[in-house]
Amino acid sequence: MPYYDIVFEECKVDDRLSNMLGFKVGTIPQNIRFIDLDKQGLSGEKKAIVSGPSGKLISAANSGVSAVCMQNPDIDKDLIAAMADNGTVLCIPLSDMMGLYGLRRSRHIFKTAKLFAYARKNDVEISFVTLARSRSMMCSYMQLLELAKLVGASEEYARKSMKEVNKGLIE
Amino acid sequence: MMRDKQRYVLVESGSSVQDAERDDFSLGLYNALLHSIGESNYHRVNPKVVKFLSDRRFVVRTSLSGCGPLVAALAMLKRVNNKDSYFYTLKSSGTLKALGSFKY
Repeated sequence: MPYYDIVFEECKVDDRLSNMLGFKVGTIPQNIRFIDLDKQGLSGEKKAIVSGPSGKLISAANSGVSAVCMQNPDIDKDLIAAMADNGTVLCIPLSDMMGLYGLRRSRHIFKTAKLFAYARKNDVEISFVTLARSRSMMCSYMQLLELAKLVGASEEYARKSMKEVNKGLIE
Repeated sequence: MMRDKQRYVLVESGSSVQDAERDDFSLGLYNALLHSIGESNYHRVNPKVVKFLSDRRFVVRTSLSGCGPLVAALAMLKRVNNKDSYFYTLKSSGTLKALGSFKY
């Protein structure tokens, strides 16, 4: 089974690039919608990744969207509980980590690792994706795997996330 | 004497590296990796650019245990020698020869 990644259409991914990186790449908005709650409201569509402040994400999780992507990796216990109840996937965009530098990146990795551990403890499935908006923020499957391990995922879980969880989101 | 097991990683760069710039580029890459990996762990990774396959593709040799940290560090590098770039690690292998068969 191949690995899957999700990126924005601005990346203009072709077959050569996706084969080179070792992914089947799903694009936003062709394969799944991306809803930023700061800019728009929930449209009732279930197959979507919803991003926004934690407070608004709880209602998104309760409405049955496929995945939720937090704007910052601070743990919100109510949100994680709502996601666990509704089977919502927690999307961890690793391009955020790649775009930072120095202490801010280090702090981001630390907080993401805590969030990952808390979410897994509560049986929330995690989707490791790049959610890249440009080619410079994309990475190969090997790199995504290592970045997932950096935030505390086991190799087995990281592979499962990149195969089954990501496939579930885009197909 | 026991030899350390090594790993070769095929890397594609987002910017092209001309023949004359290769030495400077390698030094810049080591410095950027040093910053990303950290001084206390750099010796475990011990990266070395051993071969350029084209202006965008090159091979980095690392220790077996340093392969994971190297791959993660390369994903986070976005600038080398004050020049914007990015790096995709395409394949890793125990021998240099096997990397030549990468078809994409």
